[in-house]
Amino acid sequence: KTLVEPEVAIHRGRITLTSHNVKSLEKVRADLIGGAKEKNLKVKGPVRMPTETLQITIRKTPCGEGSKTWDRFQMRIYKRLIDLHSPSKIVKPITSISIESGVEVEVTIADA
Amino acid sequence: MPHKKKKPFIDKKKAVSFHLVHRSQRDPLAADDTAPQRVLLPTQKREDEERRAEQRKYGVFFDDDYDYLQHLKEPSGPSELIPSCSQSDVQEQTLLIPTPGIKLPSSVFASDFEEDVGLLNKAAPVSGPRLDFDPDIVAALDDDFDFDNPDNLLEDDFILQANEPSGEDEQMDVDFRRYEIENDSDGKYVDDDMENSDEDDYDSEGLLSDEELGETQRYLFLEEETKSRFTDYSMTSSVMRRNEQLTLLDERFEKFFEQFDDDEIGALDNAELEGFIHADSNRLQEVLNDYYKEKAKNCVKLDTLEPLEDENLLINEKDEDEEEEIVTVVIEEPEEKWDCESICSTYSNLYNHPQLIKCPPKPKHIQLSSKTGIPLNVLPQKGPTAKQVERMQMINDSDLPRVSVQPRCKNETKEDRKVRKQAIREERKERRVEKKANRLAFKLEKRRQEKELLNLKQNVADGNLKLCRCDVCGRSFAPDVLERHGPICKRLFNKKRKPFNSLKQRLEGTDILTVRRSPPAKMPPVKKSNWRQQHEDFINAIRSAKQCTLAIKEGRPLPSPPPPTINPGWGLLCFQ
Repeated sequence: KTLVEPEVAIHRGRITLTSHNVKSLEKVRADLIGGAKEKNLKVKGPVRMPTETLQITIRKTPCGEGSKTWDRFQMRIYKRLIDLHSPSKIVKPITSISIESGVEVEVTIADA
Repeated sequence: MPHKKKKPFIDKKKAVSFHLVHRSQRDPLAADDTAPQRVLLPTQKREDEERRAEQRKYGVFFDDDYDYLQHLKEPSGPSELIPSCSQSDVQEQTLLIPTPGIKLPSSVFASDFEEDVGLLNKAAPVSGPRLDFDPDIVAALDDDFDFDNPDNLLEDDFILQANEPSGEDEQMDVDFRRYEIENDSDGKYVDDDMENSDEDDYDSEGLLSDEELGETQRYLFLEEETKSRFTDYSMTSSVMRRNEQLTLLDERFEKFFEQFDDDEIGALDNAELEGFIHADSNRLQEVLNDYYKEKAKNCVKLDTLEPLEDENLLINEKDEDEEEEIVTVVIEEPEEKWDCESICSTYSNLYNHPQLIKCPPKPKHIQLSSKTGIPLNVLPQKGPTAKQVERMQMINDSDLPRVSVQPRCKNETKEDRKVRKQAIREERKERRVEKKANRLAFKLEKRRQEKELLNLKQNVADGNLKLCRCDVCGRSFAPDVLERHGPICKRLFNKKRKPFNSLKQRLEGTDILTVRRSPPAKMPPVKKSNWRQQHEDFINAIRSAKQCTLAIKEGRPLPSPPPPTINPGWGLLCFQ
């Protein structure tokens, strides 16, 4: 039943890290890149996409009375890309890296 | 270098994306330490429109970009054990992914098989009435348990009885998934021969045939009077005390579920599988072996129970020993830690008056008065002038005390009250008259002014064209005014006006005479005084006198007298 593939196929993978918390994002990114470098994989460094600022400006008041004061709320989304060339075996330890809460990791794998 | 289109790192059409998520608690590999706790979950990139159409099928009518389909739960259909993916099999397999060529180890993905109860939920203690226990236990836990009934008591050696390995186990309900906690009590407690089988809420997932157990169950139930549709599945109706309302509800449920008596409709909770399995089959044997193993682990043997008594004594002695020992505890003086905050708080409030820090007040600009040029608010205010003081001291009519504003004295007799009321009424009457007069006066004045204004406006509106000239003085007037002006002007224009004599005006009415004074008496012609001449004459006279006396002394002839200055007249002129 179990099949072991003798060939080591190298895949190209892109890991996209998304978060609205910079510190945890950078931590995860450092862990990933550090882990990949230990295994001597070809890693393309973190590409920092421009941060998206989602802004909402709304009235402070629940009713309409009073001087017109406005609240400005902001949420910033940070995105980092990491490109890897790795054989399929290596994907496993990469996935076992502990991840902070609030960081979304998306992995896109293509054939090399 | 000419601009070439950069080859993208990953060709999106040939690539597969995954999300890295925590492994589901229901995944059997969640308990496995070697398997990675995070799995790759393939993303489903669907077009928005298709997705929305799909969502609408399920009653989700939102039109935003969120994928609500990820929250859809499949109805728990019949599930089966698949031997190839069971717990013992942890070897890696390669999984083929839609795009050929990408092969990843299977442990990186979520397992295909998921348990019903997640790992975390297994450890959760079940609260509430534990109806899956043996009915005897549940009955014993109930408040109404009759302890005097000999049938309800345990034998003294019930544990030994329970530990006898016997064929009774075979007939026990084997719930593959609940062998941990719940069946502990079931294993130990063997009461009657009739109650061999557990009347658990069992899932007949093809483990034991219905036929084997069914008969015994039905036999048991027939013994009891309360038989209903529901007692086949749960213990509620026979264990919990039924009062009137509950019985009513039970009956209603019975009636309601008569419609579901049809055999083709299965049970609400757990599906029943019909089938038959040989008692000797390998599958069953395996299951039983596993069950025994678990039971052996959890079962507490008699041997371990006996030494307990001694241990208890030992423990007690130890406690006593400990009490006798005196433990020396060194208490260290807490070191004083000073920081800037705390040293300030040690200052006494006698000298140190904490206050809110305020901004220094802004110095105001010196303002000069426009009239006098002196800075305002510097010199002391002027008091009232003499006239004002006089006026204030004058007694006005309105200042006089009125009856209406005087306070009413407490002990007022009827007559006093009557008098007071009368006075008040009088005052009010007077005041009313005053007001009326004032109103009238104001009205008249207002009307007059309005009329004048109107006249003026009319004249202005006419544009000054209709002004006629007066023949006499040459000034121009409005025609109606000219009529009035004409005779007056004739009378007065040529006449010279006397200059205004204010003295006369002021003396008018008084008794002081205003008669013209007589012309002032003419004084005799003023003699011119010839003092100079007289002075010179005098000096000459004295000189000559002196000469004369000298001459007399010396005996010389007398000098001539000085010439006279006065004109003696015509007669005496020749003498000189």
